[in-house]
Amino acid sequence: METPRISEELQEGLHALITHQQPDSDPTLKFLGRSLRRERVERLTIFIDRTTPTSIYNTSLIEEAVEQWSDENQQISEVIETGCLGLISAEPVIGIQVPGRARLYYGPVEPADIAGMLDAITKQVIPEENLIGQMIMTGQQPWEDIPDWKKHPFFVNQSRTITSLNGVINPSSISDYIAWGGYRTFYSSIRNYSGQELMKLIEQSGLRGRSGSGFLASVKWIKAAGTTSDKRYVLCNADESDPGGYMHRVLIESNPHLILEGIMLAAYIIGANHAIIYTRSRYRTAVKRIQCALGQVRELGLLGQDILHSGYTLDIQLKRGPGAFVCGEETALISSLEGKRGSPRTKPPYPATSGLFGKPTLVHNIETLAQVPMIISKGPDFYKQTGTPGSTGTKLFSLSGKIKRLGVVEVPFGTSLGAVIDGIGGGTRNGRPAKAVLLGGPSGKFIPVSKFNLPLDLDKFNEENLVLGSGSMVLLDDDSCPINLIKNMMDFIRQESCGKCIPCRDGSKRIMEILSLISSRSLPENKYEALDRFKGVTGMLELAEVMQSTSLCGLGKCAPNPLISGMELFREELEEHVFDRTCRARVCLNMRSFMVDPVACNGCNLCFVKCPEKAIIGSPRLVHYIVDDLCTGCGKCFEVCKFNAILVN
Amino acid sequence: MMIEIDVNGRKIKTQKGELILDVLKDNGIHVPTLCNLEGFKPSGACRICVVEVEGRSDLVPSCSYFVEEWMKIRTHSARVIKARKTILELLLSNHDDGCLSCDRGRWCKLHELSFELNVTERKYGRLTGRKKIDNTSQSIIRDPAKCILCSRCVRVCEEMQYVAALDFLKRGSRTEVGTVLDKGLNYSSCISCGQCIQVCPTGALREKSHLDQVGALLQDKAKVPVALIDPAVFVTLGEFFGYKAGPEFSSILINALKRIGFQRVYGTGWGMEFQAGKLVEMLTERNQEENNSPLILSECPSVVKYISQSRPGLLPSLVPLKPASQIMAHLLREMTSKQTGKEVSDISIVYLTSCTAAKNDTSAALKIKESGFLPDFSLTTREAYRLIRLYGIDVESLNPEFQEDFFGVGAKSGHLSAISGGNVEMLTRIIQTRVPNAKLNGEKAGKLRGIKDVKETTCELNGKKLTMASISSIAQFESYLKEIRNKQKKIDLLEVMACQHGCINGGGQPCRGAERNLRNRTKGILEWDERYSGIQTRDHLDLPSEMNLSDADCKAVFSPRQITK
Repeated sequence: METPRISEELQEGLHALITHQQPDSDPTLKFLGRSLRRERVERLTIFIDRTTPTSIYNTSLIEEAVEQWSDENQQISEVIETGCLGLISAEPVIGIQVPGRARLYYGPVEPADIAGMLDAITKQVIPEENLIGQMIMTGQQPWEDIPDWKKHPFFVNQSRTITSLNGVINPSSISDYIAWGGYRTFYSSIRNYSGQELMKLIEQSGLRGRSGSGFLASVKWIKAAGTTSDKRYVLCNADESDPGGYMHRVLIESNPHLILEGIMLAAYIIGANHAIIYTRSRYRTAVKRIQCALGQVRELGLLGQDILHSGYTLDIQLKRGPGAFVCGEETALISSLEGKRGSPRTKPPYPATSGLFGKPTLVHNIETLAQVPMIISKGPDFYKQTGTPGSTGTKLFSLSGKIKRLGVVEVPFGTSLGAVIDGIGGGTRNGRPAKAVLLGGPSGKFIPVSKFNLPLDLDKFNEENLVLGSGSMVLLDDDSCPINLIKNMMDFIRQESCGKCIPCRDGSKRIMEILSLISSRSLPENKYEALDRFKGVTGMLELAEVMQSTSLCGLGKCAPNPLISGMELFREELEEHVFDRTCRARVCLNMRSFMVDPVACNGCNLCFVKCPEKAIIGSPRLVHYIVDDLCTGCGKCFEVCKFNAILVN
Repeated sequence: MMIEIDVNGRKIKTQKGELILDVLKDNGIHVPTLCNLEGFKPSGACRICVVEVEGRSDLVPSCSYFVEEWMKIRTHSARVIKARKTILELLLSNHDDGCLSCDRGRWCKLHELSFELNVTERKYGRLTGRKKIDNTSQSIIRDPAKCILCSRCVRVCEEMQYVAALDFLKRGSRTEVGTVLDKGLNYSSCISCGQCIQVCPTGALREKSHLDQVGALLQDKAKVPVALIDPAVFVTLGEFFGYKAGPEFSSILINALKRIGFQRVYGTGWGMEFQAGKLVEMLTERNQEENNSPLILSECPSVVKYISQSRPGLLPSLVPLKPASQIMAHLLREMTSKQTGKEVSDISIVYLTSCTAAKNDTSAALKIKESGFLPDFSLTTREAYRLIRLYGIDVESLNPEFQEDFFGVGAKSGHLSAISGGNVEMLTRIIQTRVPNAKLNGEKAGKLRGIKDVKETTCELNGKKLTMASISSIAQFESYLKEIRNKQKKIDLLEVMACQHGCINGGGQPCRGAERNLRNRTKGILEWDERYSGIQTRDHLDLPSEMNLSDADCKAVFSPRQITK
């Protein structure tokens, strides 16, 4: 993508904003900052969320509606793209700001509603429908009786630090980020401090990796910086691919410059002159945003030779992988970058001493690197105020499944799981009782409702032998079938395993096979299938344990987690699947049984015609009957019946 | 640094920095392995070598972890054995059931392991259809259904042979070993060296068998079957029958083959000397020309294939002579035809060799071009063993026998060519004494013997210094070429063999015990040479009296070999 050129005038201003001691003391700079932050706008401004979560809605229709409205009313308006606020169940979210007044956020918004909303707002009447709240910035007149957006139940308990600018700034514009104080930390670091001094801050902050294992970051950093070598690398793992986890993607799409600054600081601290962002081609928006951001950073001279006359040289490259779950493992990622097959190798040596092309390499994911600017700018003591003594700072979680408010949330470590699920997420969508949460995607474990008061803290989770994982939460209510979810997760592992070690490659395949025998039913059932099923169920746990203890990398070692924890928690349901051949949530296909409601059936004959197994008998105008032994449970009759006469069991 | 670790309750003294597996092996504890390959970086893929280390929640693969002083290792705890057994059961769940008809038979590592670990049933999964067998190659057949993805062939092909014809394709549970674009070995960069067969623990890789054709030939009354035996086969085949490598078994083998139905049985030794004599003549002329790039001497069809595929720039440097086996095939056809009165086309040469690539030479396309020179069929050492078994020959009851004619006796230094450095040694002898069987002094010979990567020697020819070197394995060849280029070395003749340590470690040799028997095989060859040293029977460029090579014939014999691309 072509990067929009930054005018020389603006470049000078931006440089001044980065390098000036106190930009607010200089009236010109203060004015520039205010207008770049859009604290003051000159015309009606519409902010439209343009990230992957809104890509299924046609946001260009909203833009067209805005244009049409302004043409009709002869108003000048401006449309600006923004990142994602995090509240994904309210997408598409738009912000509306009239000169001098606070910005209003609405969502979900239909293109048809736009004209009415704009009409009302320009007449200073605020439509309350779908309102999220108002965002008040300095020098703006707030709207009366309108709650602040931070009072919204989704945001009220969050502590937004690394996501604070998500949805507020334009992610394709470096001036937005700089106006909010961006790159000042990087500048002052490379001008005034040495790598060792800054390393102390990282060490004191107690920063831990956000990728799941919660490894103390400073150990890696010190090792990477301490290993003698002519070259060092910083790798940013932007290849997040947990099913149910999307927080990193949203973060990099909403605020790419924050990640770049984190990478630049990390590279400076360990003394690396090369950094690589590894993502996948399929993340089109993210790739576009990173490319655009890299172009702008280079144009401003924040990357390249002798950055801002500091004598420090750095370049960041973007590499796109073909997309593989296993490439989130650091050694697999490195071997993929080296042009080899992305499969992990045995550690040690760890990448920090011998990584990419045998050089010391610091590998972190987006979220960990995004913490770095804040630690450096505000200091470790400030950073340690949030979170718990063992796990400092905040953690991103993505809520999905049967939850009321889907989205990316940022909470301090130590917040209880219940506060996130019930408070921020609003509980289950239909108000049905929750069953459990799968925390950590395909490598995670189920946490039952009884443990919802558990604080989200790395040490606490280790004590309880649970997995915090990368932070994807999938909520199950009593309408979801855990067996089916475990099967899906195992199928994911089966497809995404690199195929190197036997336990992971074949173990996942066999467990998947056994689970599909459990969760489906063929008619007539042959005796070998029943035997296989029982044989499988008895051996499944053993197989999972072997897989856990002998697999080569973390992917295989954690892959049986959902199965093992699920079998403990949902023993009853599993037994129903195995012995009674029923699925109480009616999710598992072929496990449902259907019957005709004799009162409602008027004998239209449609189900008789559509049944692929010829399991329905009956004549026109007479009540039909489903023969259980022939029915495969495909549900065709249920779909076609217009009189609700088919009952599901 | 010496440290003490605890293994199964016993204290073991060892060096820090050693792999757990090596330490266990040195102390007489056998841990089963599948993917581990001596001399290569550990891959840690099969996980069958796991051991329990106290204080670690997971099991540790002993092939890729180093010992540390705090370690308390348990090699055969219940947990470890269960894990190994489960892993093996998982492997078997994907493995083809056709063990009864498997080429590998009792040499199958998987079979041995399931016997060891008491696997008595197929625990997981059912067989779902067969996989397509890759039989595109003239020499090597690959059966993916039997592949257990241990990556041994992949590593040998890439790291030892620089060929990388085989690699992993696809991912997850669909992973398989395959060739480029999954098109089959014939389309890949395969050089048919057969080292992959040597390291394969199962029967997933095997040679293309010529046994049926040879069987039919032996029954055909109109044909005269003649066996031509490579020296590496002479010293190795005895291993199957419990004979020590050396000259003893060779005469018994001649007897056995005659009983099977071969009318004449010869070794290739004479051809080697004949070719070497011509080569010395060529070197004498060449040396005067002051040529810079080394001549590449290669009997090895794999090397020729590698050069023609991957380094066509070196083609002009190849010695423009046919390999000894082809010269012998031609001369034997001529001589036997004259002696028996049969047509040349009725004389069938069966080449018993340790080489899988020799099977490429028997392909129809080449034969049309050079009918007289190429052997009709080629049998590997393994096939030769099966042939002897097939015909029910009780080897122990046989008496030694010799082929008492011109090509059969005398010339035994030709056998040296089975080991890397042997050809160069033979050339040195001819240059120095004009006698191929003359013994070199100890220092000189020592440079060319033993298991070494690079062997270099110098001698004088027409008052000029002649430098010769000997290399085995393509990886060594490539790195040596680089060395020559970087260091501006002047090498006149470079002997290259594709299989490490020469033909005695060829792709057609017995699949098991190669590491153990390699030294014995080398010793056998040298012993043989010792026995005949100093015997000068004739000049090395003489031919039997009844054969007069016409000029045209002579030109054909000393012409470059045909190269297929």
